[in-house]
Amino acid sequence: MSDAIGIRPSVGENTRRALETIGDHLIPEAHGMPSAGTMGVGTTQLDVVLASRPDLAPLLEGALADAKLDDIGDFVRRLEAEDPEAHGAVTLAIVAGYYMHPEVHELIGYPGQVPKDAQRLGEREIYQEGLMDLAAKVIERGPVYRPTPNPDETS
Amino acid sequence: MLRGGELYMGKRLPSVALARRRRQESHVATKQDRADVLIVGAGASGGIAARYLAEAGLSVVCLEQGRWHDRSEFRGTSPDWEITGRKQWFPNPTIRGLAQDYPLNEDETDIAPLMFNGVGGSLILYAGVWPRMLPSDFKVRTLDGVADDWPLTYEELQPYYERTEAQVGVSGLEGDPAYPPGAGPPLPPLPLGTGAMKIARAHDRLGWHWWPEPNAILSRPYQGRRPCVQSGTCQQGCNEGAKATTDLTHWPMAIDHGARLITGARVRRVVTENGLATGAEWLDEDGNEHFQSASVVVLAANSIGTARILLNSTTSAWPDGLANSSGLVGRRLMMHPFASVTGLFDENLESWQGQFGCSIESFEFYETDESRGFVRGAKWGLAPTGGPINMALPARAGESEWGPDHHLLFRERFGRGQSWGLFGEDLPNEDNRIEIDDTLTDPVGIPAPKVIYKVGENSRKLLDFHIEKASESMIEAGAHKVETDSLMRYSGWHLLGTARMGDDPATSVVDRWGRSHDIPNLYAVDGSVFVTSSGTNPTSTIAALALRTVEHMVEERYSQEVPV
Repeated sequence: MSDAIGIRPSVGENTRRALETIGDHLIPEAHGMPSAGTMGVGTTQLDVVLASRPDLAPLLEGALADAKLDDIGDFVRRLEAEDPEAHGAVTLAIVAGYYMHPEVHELIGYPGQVPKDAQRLGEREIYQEGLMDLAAKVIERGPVYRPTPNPDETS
Repeated sequence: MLRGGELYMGKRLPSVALARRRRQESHVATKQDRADVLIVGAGASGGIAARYLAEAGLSVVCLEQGRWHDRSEFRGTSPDWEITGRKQWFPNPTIRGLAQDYPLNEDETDIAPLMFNGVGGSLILYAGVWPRMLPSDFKVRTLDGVADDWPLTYEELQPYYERTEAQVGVSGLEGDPAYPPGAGPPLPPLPLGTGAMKIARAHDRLGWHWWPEPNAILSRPYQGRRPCVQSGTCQQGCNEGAKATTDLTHWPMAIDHGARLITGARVRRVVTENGLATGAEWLDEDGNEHFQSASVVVLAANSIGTARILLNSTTSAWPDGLANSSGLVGRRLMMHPFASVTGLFDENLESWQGQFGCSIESFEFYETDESRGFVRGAKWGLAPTGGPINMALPARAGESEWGPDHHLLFRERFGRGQSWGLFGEDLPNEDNRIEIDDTLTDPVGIPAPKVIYKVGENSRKLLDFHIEKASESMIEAGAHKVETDSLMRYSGWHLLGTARMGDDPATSVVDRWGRSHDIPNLYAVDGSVFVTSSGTNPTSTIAALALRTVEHMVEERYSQEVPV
């Protein structure tokens, strides 16, 4: 995909570490879910994201290469206020890296966009139980369109 | 152009068709003969026009600035479908920024236009929703005292709706009482799913209208195409070919009947001589200039592209843009202000799947009720809510939550939502317009459009009312939480009205047959001819109007004035 928009995906170690740190702040380990950092949002999953979205690399590098992360929450808030595009790139890279991880898919019960076998779209799937009865009641309530003036006058 | 392989419609191209395609491409640089009809734009209306005209025996050339797309390019079967859908396959050309696009100055618009440049046009990324306009939509001035009447009626267009529905393969349920009697969709409806059935039952209790949404997405195998597999990635391009796009439903037939489709061709201007169009100047991907001669020119470049071409085609006789004696070329742009109302339910509805596309629609509050404080109304369409990345990011109607509770909010939202999309009728306003930007150009130097558009007061009141009612719908259906987005910026799918039709040349650009009042062999067949926007998804009406226009063109061909 990188050829499609002509940018080589590349970010440095500082940027990767910053993404991992911010990722753990935004999506920490809690409620039975792992943190973003442990799911590789600064390492392997970042590479997965940048392979499809190389345009994010310069935005991440610009925002994070020299980032001071003493107060992560303050850094994220300032980034959002001062550079919304970079903030969007950082949150997208973290969220995408996290929610594209197969282990996270398993934990959230997401099988991916699984095509249903066309044969499964049988009568039972199309005409779900109660559909035609409900539709009949809509018809019973009568037309809801407004009749228009004599069509012959204008056609 | 079919690159990197010879697959087409999921199968290997027959050698004859392949040879024809190659002849066409090699033909481009060497032969510039006169066509009976030159079409600009290979999207919905261009495809429909080309097929009909070619099947009628006319020689047809189409100039399309994009290229062919093989279904294998679409990302719906890849894990990155959500993130490429936010860039390379995003429907706004400014964000997408592909070589085949042209830039837009969007500094002065409340709504960002959405479109796609390629064979099939914006259909490549549209949702496939295919409702007709309602009878009242054609008589807004007569019924509600605002805007203007169309110079035709629903009844006049109805046969063309039925014929184009058969061409594209619409799935739906016959008998919707929102419309006068007539032929229903050719295919049974797509599955509604658990979430839509909950809302249908809620509307039953409320006594409100609902109906299975007509979609140009196949519920059954149809004319060599495979049916929908409910992947929910319609707006990233349909990998199955189940969603109707004219690269599948019309161009193969047009090409088989001799139509010549030239891709990578950017039209700079329509050329005129002695009051008639003689063809168009265009530039190829390397910036080389060409001229395509034609007896008749048909613009099908969408409401922004068509206005751009006309406004760029100035001459001493037409200093304000070609065919612009009314001064209305580029004006009355309508884009359908859009809001969404998302209900969150306790149970898992697997709302990342299904057609995307709509499952059901409602016209309950579509018609004018003056007690509401505004005129006209909105159509509602119910859609799933998307994949995990979409639901985790603070987008659309969602709130954001970071920190430990991010997981709780995500769990509450993911797979458990249903979303009413509310398309409000957008009243025409001459100040909402396309102009030619002073400095911005496309990659080959053709001046680019500037979009000037403000959402009107009527639209804001209309959306507020409909958000309230759609929220009632969700609560009655059992939603424990309702999230709303009152006006989405990236919602300008429906580009309408910049070359409106009408009987009076002083107040319209084209006549009731899509023909320019000023240039008798120049036509527009896309959404630019819309007089009013209605509150419905417009593709079905664009398609029906295009078919009606070219059928009339063929019927009247012996009296058509053409250059000598």
